[in-house]
This record gives sequence, C-alpha cells and structure tokens, in this order.
Amino acid sequence: MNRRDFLKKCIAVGAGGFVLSNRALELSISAKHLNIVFIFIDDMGWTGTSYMGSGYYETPRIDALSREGMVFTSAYTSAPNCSPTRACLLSGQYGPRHGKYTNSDPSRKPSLERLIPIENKNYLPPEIVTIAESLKPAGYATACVGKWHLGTKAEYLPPSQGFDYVVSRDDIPAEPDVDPKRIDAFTDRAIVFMESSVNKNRPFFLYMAHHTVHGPVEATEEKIAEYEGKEPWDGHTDPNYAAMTEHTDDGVGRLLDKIDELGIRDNTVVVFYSDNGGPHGLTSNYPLRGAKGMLYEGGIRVPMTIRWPGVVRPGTICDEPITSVDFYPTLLEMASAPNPAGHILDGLSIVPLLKGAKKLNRQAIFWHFPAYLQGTDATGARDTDFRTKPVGAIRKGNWKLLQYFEELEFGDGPLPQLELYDLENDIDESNNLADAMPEKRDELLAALVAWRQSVNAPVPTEHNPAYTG
Amino acid sequence: MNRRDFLKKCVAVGAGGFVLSNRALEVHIGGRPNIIVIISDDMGYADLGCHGCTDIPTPNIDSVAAKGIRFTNGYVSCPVCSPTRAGLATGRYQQRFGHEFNTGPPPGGLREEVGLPLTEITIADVLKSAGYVTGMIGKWHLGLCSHFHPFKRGYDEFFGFLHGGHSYIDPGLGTFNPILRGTEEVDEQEYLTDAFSREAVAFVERHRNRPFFLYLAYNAVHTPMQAPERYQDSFPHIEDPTRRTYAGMLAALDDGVGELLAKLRELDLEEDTLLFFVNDNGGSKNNGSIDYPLRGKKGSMWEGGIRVAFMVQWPGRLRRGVTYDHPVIALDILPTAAAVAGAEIPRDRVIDGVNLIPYLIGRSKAAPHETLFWRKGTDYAMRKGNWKLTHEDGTSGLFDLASDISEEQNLAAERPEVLEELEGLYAKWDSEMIEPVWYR
Repeated sequence: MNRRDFLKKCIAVGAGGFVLSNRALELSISAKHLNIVFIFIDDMGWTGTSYMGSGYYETPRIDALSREGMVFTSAYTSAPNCSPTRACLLSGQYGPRHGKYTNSDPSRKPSLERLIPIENKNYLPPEIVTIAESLKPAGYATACVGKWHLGTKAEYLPPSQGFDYVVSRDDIPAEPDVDPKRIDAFTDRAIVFMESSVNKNRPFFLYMAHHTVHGPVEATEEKIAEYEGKEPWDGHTDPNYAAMTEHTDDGVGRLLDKIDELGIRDNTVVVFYSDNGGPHGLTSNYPLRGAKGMLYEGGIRVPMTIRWPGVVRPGTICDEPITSVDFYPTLLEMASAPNPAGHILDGLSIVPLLKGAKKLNRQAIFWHFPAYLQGTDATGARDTDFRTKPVGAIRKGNWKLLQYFEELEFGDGPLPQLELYDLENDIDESNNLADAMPEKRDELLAALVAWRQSVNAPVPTEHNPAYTG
Repeated sequence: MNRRDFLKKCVAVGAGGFVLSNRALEVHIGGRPNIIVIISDDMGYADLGCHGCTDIPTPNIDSVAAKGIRFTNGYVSCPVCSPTRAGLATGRYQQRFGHEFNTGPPPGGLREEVGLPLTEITIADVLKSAGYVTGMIGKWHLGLCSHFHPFKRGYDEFFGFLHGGHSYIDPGLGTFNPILRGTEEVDEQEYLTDAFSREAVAFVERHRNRPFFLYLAYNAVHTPMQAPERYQDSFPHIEDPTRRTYAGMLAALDDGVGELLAKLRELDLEEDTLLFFVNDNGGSKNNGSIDYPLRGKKGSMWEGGIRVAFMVQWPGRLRRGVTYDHPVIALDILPTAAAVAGAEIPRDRVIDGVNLIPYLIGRSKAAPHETLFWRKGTDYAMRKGNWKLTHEDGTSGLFDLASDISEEQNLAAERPEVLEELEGLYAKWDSEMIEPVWYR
C-alpha cells in the first residue's frame, strides 16, 4: 500500500496511544453527543443563591436548576481567588504545577511581610494542555465567553488555549445601566455559538465565564428598587448587590431557556460553579468563616450544581468534597475524550458521584497559597492587615488543617502555625483543635507535607529584608 | 517550443498593458521564473538540520539551503502569525495599515474590519497583474469575512482554511473553520499537512506550462499536537512526548517540501523556480520546539520570536549552498518576486521590503536594510547593524548580536549613547505607523 492510501485511513495519534479514525469520529458525532455548558460565576459565595440559604438574594432560575440536578454542598475551589482557580480548572492541575498561585503580585504590603512570597506567574503557560484543547480532538466546538484572567499576551489568550469562539469584555462596550456586567451581551453571543454548533451537528463546550458578581456592582435602577427596604439577612444587606445577583440569575435563565428551545436539554450537561467565595465588603459567607482570598471555608467553598438529564437524579445532594481540578477529568469522561498525553491531571472525575456514588476514591484535597493578600480588618481573617498570609491547607474527611508559613519559618507567635477544624461540628472554623487533638493534627500535617513534596510545592522561606514590622 | 525558450522571449503581460520596467528587463536575462513561497508555522529556530538540529531529520527543507542561499539573519515582521503574514503579503510593515495583532476567532474575528485591509495590494495581486496564475494553499489567517477571502486578494485558486489554526485530522465540516476549496467546504480525509502537499503538487502539475505563483502556508508545526500515523513511533529517542509529536508533524512538513521539489524536478521546472522557505515566527511555547541559541519564543521581541529559518533557492540563477549574513526580512519577498516576474510594485505607498536579487548575486555588498523594526502593542524592537534594541515588558535592553546572539548581556548601561540612538530611530519609525485597527 502506498503512503497516501495508508494515510486515507488517517488515524489520529495521541502519545497515550489513543486511536480514533475519521470514520469513527463522524459516527460519534452523528450519534447523540453530549454538550457541556459550564456556567462560571465570578466571586459568588457559598450562600450567594437563595437555594443555598440566603434569605435576601433571589435566584429562582438557579434554584430551579439545582432542583433539576445534583447539589454539591462541599464544592471547593482549588484557590481562594479568581485567576489561580481558573488556572487550576482549565489545566486540571494544582498551583505548584503551573505556577499561578494568586492574582498578580504575591506581595502586597512588603514592609509588613516577613517572608518573600513565591514568584507568581501571571498567565497560564501555553504548553499546558487545557480542557478545551483536550475536548477538541473529540470533535467539540469550544467557546470562551467572558472572563479569561490567565494572561494578556497573544500566546496566553483563549485562542491559543483551545477555544474556537472567543468573546471578552474588550469586545463589548460597557453599558452598566442597561446591561449590567454585560450579562446579556455575553449571553447573546453564547447563544450564537450554541445555535451554530447545533445547526452544524457539533457537540460543544461553552465556558460561560461571567464577570458578575465580581465588583464593581452594576445593576439597573428598576432591579435595585425591588430590593430597597428588604429585610437584610445574615450579612446580606446591599440592594445593589442583590440586584446584580438577580441579573445574573436572569442571564442563567435565558441561557437555560435557549437550551430548551434548541431541543438539546436532554443531551446537555449544565454545570453551575463559582471561582471563589464572596468578597469581604460586598457580601457575607455566613455561616462560613472568612471571604475571598482566605483559605478558610468562606474563601474556597462555593455553590455548585450539575444537571445531566438521564444520568443525574434530580434533587440529589452530594456532600463529598470536590475541587476545581476535578472538572477536567470529569468533562473528559462525559465527552468520552481520552486524557491528554504527557499532562498530569491532579483531580478525579466526579462522574461516579453524579451516578450516585457517595464518595470518591480519594483521601484529601489540598491548597497551596504562598502569597500575601492585603486587607484591613477583613471578616474572619486572623490578621488585621492581611486577608491572608502565606498558607497551605488540606481537607481530609471532615477535618481541615491550615499551616501558616511565616510561623513555620520563624517558629514564634503570637498566632499558631497550625489550625485544625472539625468541619462537621464547627463549620465556622472558630475552634482550633490543633493542640487538643495532636494525632489528628499530625495526620493531616503529614498528608499535607507529603502532597507538597509530590507536586514540588515551594514553601516560602526567604526572609524579607524590607520587613519593618 | 519548450517553456524555457518561450520564457526567453518573455513578453510582459498585465491587465493594464503595462510596460516592462528597467529592472524587470534586467532580470529577463534569466527569464520569468515560477515563484513559490513556503511558510511554516511556529517552528523552532533550532529544529532544522541545516540549523544544527540532531534529533529531527529535515532533509528536504535542508536541501533548499543546500541548493540555494540560507539567510543567517532572517527575520519576520512580527513574533506572531497573522501580522507576519500581512507584512509578507504586502511587503510593508503591517503597522502601516493597522494589522498589528492576530485576527481572532469568531465572533470578534467576523467583524468586517478584522483582516488585511482592503486598501492593501498583495503579492498575489502584483504577480497576477503580471500574468502569473496564483494559488494559495493552507493557512490564511488574514481575515474571516468574505471580503478578505483569498479570491479577493489576488489568488486564482485556494485550498485551505481561513482561521489561525486547524486540526490535522478533523476537517471541521460544518464548523466555523472548515477546510475550503475556493469557497466550498471539503470533507478532507488526509492528514492535513499531507493534503496541502498533495494540493501543492497538483497545482504545479496543473500550471506547468505557464508562470505560476504558489503561496504554500502549512499550518505545521502549530498546535494541535497531532502527528501522522506513519511517524507515531519514529522518534523514541526524543524524551519529551510533546516534542516527539512535534517531530512527527515536522517530518510530514519536510516530506511535503520534498514532494513539491520532486515534482518540480520531474517537470523540469526546478531551475526556473524561485522558491522561498520561511518560518512565520519563533517556536511556540506549547509545541515542543526549540529556539536555541536564541532567547525567547513566539510572541516575544527577543531574537527567538522574530528571527527565523529563511532560505531561497533558484538553481538556474542564484548560487548554491551558501549563506547570506546581512539581515533580511520577510517583507523582501514581494519586491523580490515582483522584480523577477517583471511586475510593477505599487508606487503610491511605501514598500519597506527590498528586491534581494542584486544583493544575492553579489552586485551590491551593502546591507539590504540599515535598520529593521518591530512593534506589537507596547513591546518593540529594532536592529541596526549588529545592535539590537529589545523592549519587552516595559524595559529596553541593548545587545550586540555579533558577540551575543543569545541576548544575555544587556549593554544598555554601558552604551547609553547607542541605546539613545536606537530609541530615537525607533521613535521616528513608530511615528509613521498607525494605531491598530483591532486589538489582541
């Protein structure tokens, strides 16, 4: 057989030995394929929706979605702020692998920082194989609508990271009084993408990365008026923020309506998730401690629901901890796409949970935040000048351990190096059991240290000469 | 009468019935050659045998250097794909017409102003008006709307795709980015690099009896990382799996160049064909490429982003197996092609490229360019002689490329007067450029 005839069989090869002929690809597309809509809200806290317990915010469409799918009570983000969570999510890797630990500068108030923080990448490296780049070989059309936050140079932007159809807020003029946070404009463009993919019989992955409910707070006059005079609830007091939340809900509703209208409800997975907890000053994450930027529950525990008709039983609740790096293997399993060759995935597919399993085959999930975030008297923070100082954490079962790196390096007080919390009985992390339960403390610490070694996580140890105390 | 004799009579043909210029007359002594421009995508500077690569064989591309002239200081006008192609297509610094950034994907890429501005005259326009049949194969990346289609920019024939990248194994039927023959979608079943090679060979076969211009823009070795099956296990000595796949993709590209050269030989056209091989920008960070000894990669103003593999063969006319060391830039391709084709280049605008023939045949010992400039957003660079000014991430560095090709020793503090001179030259050039028509 000559080379050209042989090539007509044209077999795709990934270095993992995955083989898919063009013929098979064609067949798999014409069979009922699975679309994935990933609705990613910015800075929405654990109680940012009414179904998660807020007595002030109103999110009827998101609530309805949660009843049609599975609610995750212990969904975490792999980082306490926007850009590293997105890096972890799209790469399927914990921070130490890709080097993006925080937003921009890891040093915020140098004269008060005892350690030099670990250098932070301001982009997701192009050599990372993203979820989108892994879904494309499975025939998926991919779209990134909204917030990227993973680098501004051309080689870092979504088109270089596997997205075919890209809309950012640079493409849409701001009209905060008419279309707050560009929710409608982004939704319109997402709809164009979905329609086009459906018309062309292509499965699609829509990464719908809204800028809402991140500040600045934007909402229409009419919406704000609806909340004027409403009785506040547990730190949810701001009519403007509530209105912005409801605009968000409207946008989600419109997208869901279009999915129904296109007749693809039954073969579309809808994921609803946030990138970190609600920020101090805009909302409260009560009963959780803390806010965006902290490794306390308030910074890293977020609302999450997944609707998957025919697979997920509506109205189910899952308590198993999951984290951002889990989405990559999950979406790949949903799409029947193979794992990318030569690219480590730190997470686990949560498809078993979606199918009814109670637990994943996993001991713990981890955080590594070797940076500083400024803040003045932030709720729940243990410092008056910082939301957080360099810290690592582990959740294992119902136990949570935080390890603070300044105290690790300097060995002195007044704050403890280790904090141990029993999340089942002390969800607001008010009772540090590190001294009272040394075996549990050491168990979690050993696991955290072992994990750090396994991913080469750098702990800051260099003393900061600019520190004046 | 065979083709060579016919060419020796060489009558100028043009839509306006234009008259041969003196320059064209001079070159007619060698006849009107076919012109082929092969451009590869995101290849590393170190990844050709003729550049010292030892782990990936590229005998066919190497043969172009062996049969022609290899530029040791060859540049493109931008460290990323689309603006470089805009510069190459027009012979002008693309910032003159606002094509400073990549044309993006839809929906932004579907805006009517996002593409090579319609005011620009392309190399295909120029050669077509001189009677050449023109063909474009491969990656266009100069605008998605129909008014930017290759058919509207001087090409008689087109086979390829309009976006900045494409799967090598999925033709993308019914997607935003299908494979097109002209304007019709094609259910291409061959590995894409091989499909482009096939089409290139067919184009040459089809037009063997008249002067032709072929712009063969492979998307190899840009992502996605997909090697053809025949090279799946061919590079076990390469440890990095990404580079193993890269090697397979590069091997397919090299095969294609070999097939094209073989067809030229078969049809007795090689002697009369001016063939350029150029890469579009530095190796990207995600395809396993290596840019040693240059600093930086695709996207940056370091040499690694803008200095590329660049060579030319015209066995019937130019010397063989030599290198040329004065800096040249992809903008030179249009004026050079126009000159050998006997075509007029546009006179109503600045053409920044120069006809390289007089330099390459030794008629002039001077450098074709005193200065070269680059700009992409807030990053910029310039080269004067051996001095390189590299302005990345807000700071300027000054380097002596003659002794420090890797740009490791910043001489800005030691030679402030040189830095000042270069910044001044850059500022003057910058003032002639316009704002980008679109961003990112």
